[in-house]
Amino acid sequence: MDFDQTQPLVQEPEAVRFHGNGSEYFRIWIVNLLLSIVTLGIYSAWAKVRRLQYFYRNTELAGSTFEYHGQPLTILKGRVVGLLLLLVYRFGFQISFTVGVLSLLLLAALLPILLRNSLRFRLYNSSYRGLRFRFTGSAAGAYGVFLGGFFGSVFTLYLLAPLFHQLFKEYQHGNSWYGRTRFSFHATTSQFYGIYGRAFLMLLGLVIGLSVLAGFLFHGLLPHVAAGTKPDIRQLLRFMLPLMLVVYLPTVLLLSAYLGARLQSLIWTNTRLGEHRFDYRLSARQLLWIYFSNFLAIVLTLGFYSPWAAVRLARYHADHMTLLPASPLQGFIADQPQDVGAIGEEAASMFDIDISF
Amino acid sequence: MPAAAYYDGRTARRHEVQISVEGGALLVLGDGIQRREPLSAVRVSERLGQAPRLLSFSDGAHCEVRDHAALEAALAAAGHRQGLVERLQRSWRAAALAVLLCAGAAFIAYRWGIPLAAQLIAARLPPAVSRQLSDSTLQALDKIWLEPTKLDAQRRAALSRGFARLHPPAEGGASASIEFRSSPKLGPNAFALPDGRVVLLDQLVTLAANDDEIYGVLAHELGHVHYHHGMRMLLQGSAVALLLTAWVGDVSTLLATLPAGLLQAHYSRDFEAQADDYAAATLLANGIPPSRLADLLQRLVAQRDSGNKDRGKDKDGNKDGDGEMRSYLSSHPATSERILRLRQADRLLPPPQGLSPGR
Repeated sequence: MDFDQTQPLVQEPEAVRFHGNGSEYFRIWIVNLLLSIVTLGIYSAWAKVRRLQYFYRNTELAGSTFEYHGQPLTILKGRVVGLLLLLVYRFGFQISFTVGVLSLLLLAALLPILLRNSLRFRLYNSSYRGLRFRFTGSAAGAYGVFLGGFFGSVFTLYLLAPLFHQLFKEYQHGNSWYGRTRFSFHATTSQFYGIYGRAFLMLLGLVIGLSVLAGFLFHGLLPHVAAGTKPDIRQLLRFMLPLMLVVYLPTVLLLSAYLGARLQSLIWTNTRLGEHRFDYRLSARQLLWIYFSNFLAIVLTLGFYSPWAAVRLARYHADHMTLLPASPLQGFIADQPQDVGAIGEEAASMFDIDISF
Repeated sequence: MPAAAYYDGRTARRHEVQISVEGGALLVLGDGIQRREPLSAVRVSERLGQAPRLLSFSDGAHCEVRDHAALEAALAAAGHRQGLVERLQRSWRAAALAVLLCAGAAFIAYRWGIPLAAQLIAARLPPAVSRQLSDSTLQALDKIWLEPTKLDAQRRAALSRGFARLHPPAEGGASASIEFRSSPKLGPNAFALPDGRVVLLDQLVTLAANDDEIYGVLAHELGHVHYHHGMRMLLQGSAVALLLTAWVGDVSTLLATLPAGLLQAHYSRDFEAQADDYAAATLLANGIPPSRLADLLQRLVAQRDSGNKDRGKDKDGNKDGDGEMRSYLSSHPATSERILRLRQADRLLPPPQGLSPGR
């Protein structure tokens, strides 16, 4: 590894801070939700812009905030395209085999470009101190990362998935810019394999351990298993609910907390903006507590806690991010005018699309 | 005079400035900046809680303002009005009302909106779609649950003939045929495929005391076919799952899938009641007492209860166990109610000729 650990940091670290709060965001969220419902989902594009603006503007770095510039109509267009693709995917094979195969081919041809354009849209519409972010990943790169990643993972029983995750992050972060300064990505494939390997061992341990526990708690079926008789199908299905609560749910929570914390830490501590670095060390245990308590509170409030949950999570993430500048931040200079001029902006709104929901 | 940070849009340099509104123009002063822009050319961002607000100029420069009170006073003095949504987003009263209205909208969508939409779509789908769906469903069932029938050809032919002779209660009844199968795993059961085929299991034929009971079950399944229940169930299920995912899916997909099943159970009960009514009407139109279907239902319940007792388990047994299949017992809690309704329908049977009380 070529990490230059000896280079002294002359600048003070700059911590990111998040200032949003749940009760404030709840009022914004619920009003926009109602408008989205009343308009049968159309207003949700406006709601999304407000949501992102609320979170961006409440995120502070070195005394300044971030800003989101996405236009609701562009987002709405992206959602229509996304919904159509979803329908094609969902019902293609139910109409006929040929239609199913054709729709898969269509998806394979379109999705990488759409995902690339979504990254472009998101970054182009993000700014800090008046300078936009940019994404310059190529179409060929998108096909390699998304299409190659999908088939390369699925057909190797996900043995290559960590490799493709690393490649995707390299494509995503390595082609991102802030003003004229490029981001770079330095995490290695073996670091990704290390985390995924431990997660896999955890998964094995959890499934075996919790299944044994579930067996003790719900042993009503064991006599049938021992006697080799077939238990009633209804009983088997009644068994599914506790099984989900005792085995599936804890496994999902634990693994997503572990992977979320470790991967995000790995990715950001190995991302640089020019010579500037990031410090981002999340604790899997703290993340697990947030996931679990958010989950519980959302269940108990039938979903109305979700704005508070989103704010809590955003605060946890933001408050652990620190920029380690190598030189004064003021030194960034914006792009040449032609890059962000009227023509560029027009092209961006014509071809760029945000299909993420 | 609110304090603000000014950025020129070309560098990330921060300028500490004072802004003010004078004569319809925004003034930016300080730290080497001196700017005057007509307020109409400045984009004033909406207020979102305590988040800083942005005043953006057309050349890419902007001011970042945190002093909300001073900014709002200056803007108000210049005649700038807040948008309606902007004001609603700050009001607790509006939030409380929105909670109520959202809950109400969710209930209306669940109870009437989704079923109505599913009904309209299901009735307009080309027959090829339901044909294709039925084929794939039956193939999947054949692989896991079903075995070939053990009824002899004569018995099958007799049942098919009797079934074909049933005339529908109204014009345009569903055309249908029987698919005979056996399934020790599923027990006495019958279910309708979306395209009108009815799968009849040997175990149900064995359980029935007479053929009228079987025709009662088949008429019930015809009701499902007539009202496109299979396709509607599929569409309603997809819609409920989609909406739940939109509601809480970003937090947990599991949260979205668990209640979906519970919510669908309600739809299934509505459909059973509707199919029972159709069955009763069909049986009446063919001179068969609807209580024949009730007799069979009762025997099914009795058999299942004794089965459960044998295993020393369970009193309610109402967990819907059959996944995507339209099972006969999936609405068990309401079964006694269903039996009662069917028995009451006997009163509508025309009295036998000659015995009608004269006037």
